[in-house]
Amino acid sequence: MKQKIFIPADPFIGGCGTAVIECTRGATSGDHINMKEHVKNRRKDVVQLPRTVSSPAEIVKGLINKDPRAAADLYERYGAKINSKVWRLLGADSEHDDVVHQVFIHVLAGIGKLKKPDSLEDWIYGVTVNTVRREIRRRKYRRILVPMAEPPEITRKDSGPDGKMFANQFYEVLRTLKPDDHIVFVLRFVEGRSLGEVAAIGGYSLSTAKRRLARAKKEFAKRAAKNPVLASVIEEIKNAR
Amino acid sequence: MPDDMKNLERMGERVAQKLGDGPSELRREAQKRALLSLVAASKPEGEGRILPNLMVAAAVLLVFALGAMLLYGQETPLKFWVGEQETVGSEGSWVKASNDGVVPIRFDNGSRFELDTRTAVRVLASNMETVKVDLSKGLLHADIKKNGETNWIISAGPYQVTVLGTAFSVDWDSDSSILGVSVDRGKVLVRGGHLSEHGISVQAGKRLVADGDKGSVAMESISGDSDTANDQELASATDTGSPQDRQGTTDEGVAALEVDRSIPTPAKEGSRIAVKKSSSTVTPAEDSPSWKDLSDAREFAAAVAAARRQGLDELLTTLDVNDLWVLANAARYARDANVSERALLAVRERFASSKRASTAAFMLGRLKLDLEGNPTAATAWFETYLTEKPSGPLAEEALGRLIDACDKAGRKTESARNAEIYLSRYDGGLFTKLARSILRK
Repeated sequence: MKQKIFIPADPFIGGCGTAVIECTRGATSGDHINMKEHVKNRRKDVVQLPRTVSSPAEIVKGLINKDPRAAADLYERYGAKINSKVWRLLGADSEHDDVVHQVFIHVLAGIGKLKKPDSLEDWIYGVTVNTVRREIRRRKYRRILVPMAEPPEITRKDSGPDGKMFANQFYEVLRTLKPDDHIVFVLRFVEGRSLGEVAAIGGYSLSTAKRRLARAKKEFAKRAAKNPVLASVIEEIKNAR
Repeated sequence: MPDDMKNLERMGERVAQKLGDGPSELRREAQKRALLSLVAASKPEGEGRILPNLMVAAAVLLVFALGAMLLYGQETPLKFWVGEQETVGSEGSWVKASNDGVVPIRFDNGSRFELDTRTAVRVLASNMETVKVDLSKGLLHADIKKNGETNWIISAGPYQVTVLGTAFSVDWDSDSSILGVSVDRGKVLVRGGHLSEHGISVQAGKRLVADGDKGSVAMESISGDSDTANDQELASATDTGSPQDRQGTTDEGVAALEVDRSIPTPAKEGSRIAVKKSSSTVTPAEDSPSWKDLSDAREFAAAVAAARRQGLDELLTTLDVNDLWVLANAARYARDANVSERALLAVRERFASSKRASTAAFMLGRLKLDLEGNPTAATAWFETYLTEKPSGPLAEEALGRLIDACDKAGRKTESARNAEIYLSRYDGGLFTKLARSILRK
């Protein structure tokens, strides 16, 4: 089947347009593969010069001057870690890309206020956590107002049905916690951060982080015990020891 | 460190392992493009207005961030409203009908969708040129008012239904890869999946059933009669190779048609009622919730009790593969090994060629090991799964659990041999620690 798709503007190649590509698997996953190939083909004509990624200070300066190369370096340097953090905080969420985009919007909006360019990494992770916190709060209200579909199950391709169910149930229980409790719980137990790191990334004092973590643990354990999938995993872990 | 802390840490490690580190490279590429466009969009404006400008840019570039969507240009939006309260909808929104009733989606041009219970869709695009909706599961009824300029496309898994002016229904079962399209008025074109690139046109009064797993396609009258006159056309409309193969597909198409008769026909309310009535011997009393409702409400023990009241023998011989699976899981969660085992065995016996049959073998292994504490029986089931699906999605886990089951059954040599195989294939996987500890013994 042939289909028209819109090719977005590329700031390095320039221009945008409409292409007709072969689509053998309908309009969803197959299109992505073909689009990727198409983009790859377009790039064949472009000779890419080797370039090192700028330092944090250069990135900050470039972003303040709205330099696209600084934005590219920002993504190169921190994109993977932002993705990983959002992915683990929200649990392979269907709106993951939107949330990551929101992180970049807030980074660009606030970069001028960053006093120490060397602390860019910590500051970006703080922005990421704040963005996710806002998203969790927003969803609590939105769930009341609009009928929402459950996000599609997206976990690693090699996760079996049980793995998917386990991860989905884990985040389903987390979503019932308070937003800050949700965040400290993931940072501590999924990301494996120390209490001090949880406090620093979440923007809490050490004692607040400790108090929230204790509450999150208690509430999660209580709710997980009532959830058959999580209860069986906990039992399995206990038995394995 | 206290035990509960260690348990939570291990649970967190498992979650992290299941999730991985984030989305695909393709989506990351789209994210990067969105960021670059964001910077480009903010450039001409003054410093003080960065955030509002970025917000506007973000709205325009939302489609990039979604990463996986098709764009059809900057067209005049076609407004739509969701639910009886007519909440304003937006492109990219997910809409789900709960168990309670249908959810309407009304479009500004008078067209209307109705989502049946437990149906989920995502409106990917809604403008005067194209309305594109992804049916992720369930049944969607559509009544399209043709205006000659808007293309209406419903995608479901690998299939696409292009509307040529009509009222129709699309049902999609992502687990078994079965698509059903029933046309009440006008006609639609179904493409994608294993269908030929020209697709298959479905006329008023017809229902097309495409089975992605079997690679078959069948057409029937909505009244339920097989449309044998169409067999040749359908055979040539699938992507099969030789004429012999095509003949095979035709035969399979007829078989698929027979299977489908047990599936409620969505477009005809009457036929759905007829299906329910035909199984009235296993229908619960009207004032008590069915086992399925209870399972959906996560009342697993009550669901199993209700299933027993309805008559397990009859349920196990009449339920379709999906419901059998739900029953098996409900019983497993309720820790009722007997019912869960019977349901899983029914899946293997009655739906031997389905994907679920092998998964049922794996689940039987888990059931024997975890619920019944019978490692010897468990090894047989894990071995069955590995024989049937040596590279299946659960192969790693089946092998890992087989190591454990052999060890618990006292079959130390086999356990060590399986541990070696595991480490050679999946070193760093979930059961690495177990495999190493077995080899150290």
